[in-house]
Amino acid sequence: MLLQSLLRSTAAASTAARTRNLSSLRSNLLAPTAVAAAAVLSRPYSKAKTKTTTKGKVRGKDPRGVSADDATRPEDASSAADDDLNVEFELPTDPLPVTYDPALDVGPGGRPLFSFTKSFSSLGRKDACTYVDLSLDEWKAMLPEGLPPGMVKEFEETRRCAVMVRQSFLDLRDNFRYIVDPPIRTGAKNSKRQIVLDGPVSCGKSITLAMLVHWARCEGWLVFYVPKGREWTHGGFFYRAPYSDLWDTPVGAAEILQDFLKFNESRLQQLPCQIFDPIPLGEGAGVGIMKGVDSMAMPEGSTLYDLIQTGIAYTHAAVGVVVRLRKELSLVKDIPVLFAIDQYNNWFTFSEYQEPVTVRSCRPIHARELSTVNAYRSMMHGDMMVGAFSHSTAVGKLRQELPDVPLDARVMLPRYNLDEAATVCHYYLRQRLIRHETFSEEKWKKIYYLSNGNGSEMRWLAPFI
Amino acid sequence: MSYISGARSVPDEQVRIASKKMDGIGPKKAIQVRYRLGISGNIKMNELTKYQIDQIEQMIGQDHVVHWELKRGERADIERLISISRYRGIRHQDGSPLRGQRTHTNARTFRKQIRK
Repeated sequence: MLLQSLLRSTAAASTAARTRNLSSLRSNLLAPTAVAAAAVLSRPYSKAKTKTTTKGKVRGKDPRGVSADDATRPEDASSAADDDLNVEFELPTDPLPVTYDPALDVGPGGRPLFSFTKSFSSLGRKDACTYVDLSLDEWKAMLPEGLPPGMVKEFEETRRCAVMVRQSFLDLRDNFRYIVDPPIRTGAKNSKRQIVLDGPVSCGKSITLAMLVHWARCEGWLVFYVPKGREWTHGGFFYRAPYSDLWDTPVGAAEILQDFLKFNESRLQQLPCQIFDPIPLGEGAGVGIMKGVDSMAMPEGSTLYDLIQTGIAYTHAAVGVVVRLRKELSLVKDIPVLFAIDQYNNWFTFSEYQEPVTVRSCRPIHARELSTVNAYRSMMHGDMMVGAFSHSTAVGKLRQELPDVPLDARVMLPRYNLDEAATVCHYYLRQRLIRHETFSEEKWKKIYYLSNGNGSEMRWLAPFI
Repeated sequence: MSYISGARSVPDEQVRIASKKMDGIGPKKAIQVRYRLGISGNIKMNELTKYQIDQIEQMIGQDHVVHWELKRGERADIERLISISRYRGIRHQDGSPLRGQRTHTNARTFRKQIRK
């Protein structure tokens, strides 16, 4: 099957170049088959499912209602067969079909559009403005807590789970890499341990954070990833903590522990607890306060896994365990620990909850008054932490100097520059969001300047080229 | 289907909607009851435990007049006005508006309600 796909790819490339007037994009496709063969072996689509069709052709339908055949309708009858052949081989989806031709993955200036790598560790500066293609299952395996909504939308609209490697992501990755493994000459002087990712709308904050978490987990780090920080301040039940002036959210705490356990279960079973103070008990979710008992002791020799299981099993102890987990993770020295919080700006505004003050009035509860948020919000510590702001949650504008955040922690993530926009447009061309016959440099530049580098706007404008 | 303080509640309905269906509980009181019990806006009736439903009924019963008690109180007030032959009591008996509205024309809604 592999040999057949190779033969078909070379046949398709040669006939396409001979019979049709193609743009320079296609002229760069006359690459040696050896390169294509190497690409074939390293591409994840070698594990793709095989599709059985009645007529021997793979037909797919564009989510916008335009079938793949319609999108590539031949200009003349003589090239109808060639276009059908091309349609059969060019249907980039997830997972990629067996007949997928990687020789057509060409970026701006003839550079390769995709980096053939499975992880973000091996990427360097020369890999900036290229795409890394992972399957949805791989993404979900590395980020079982959930993917950011913006990333999911990008995957749905492009029908492929590929993300672009940007220079800003490489800088962020190298920043944390140098903290753990500092260079000999310079050390980790310029590296920041706490970073707040801020920037304009749709500039890639959430996706950058997700890629960083993916990289860190591939490196073997222990990552506490919160894809939706808003869920800590909205939903569930809230009760006044009997041991403090804060508010407990037992339902939310249990979900936090379950999410943390999804990827890190095996690692947590090896990490012992270092704090043996009894865990304070609060009010359980819908069951009231436990009578006669106000704390729960953890036996000596228990691991972090046991601690988390206790919090999941006993709803009265869920919040106490989440707060205790924060202290335990800061004492872990065997492996690097990273706290990655998305929608971080939600923790600096009011929550959904309110406290009745009089018969007719209520007082809104700020996020810092919640026990869980209060334990994880502060960046005034020595642990590695990244918080990404989100414009999707209607928080509004926050002041420049945030409480419990270092002054130099804010990093403004830029929107797409010209090179990145070129790569994006070529990717959309590859994914059939843009038609071949209408694609030109002038047009994609128009889209770029019209959207001012806004990623989601460019994706929305791409079909109108 | 369950009943809370005499009001029928749908399991898939949110608590903030279902609690307003009780006679005598409006939006403000519903919010007060919810926040005093620590229930946020997206919780549905089928997610409440029996303990919480008992708490809701207890809180509503203690601090608010609802359902048949409210109707009994309203009826008692009207009967008191009728018994002492007040103008408003006579207007209640006649089925006419009693808050100074015109009756030469209109007043159809009030008369329709009394006829029912």
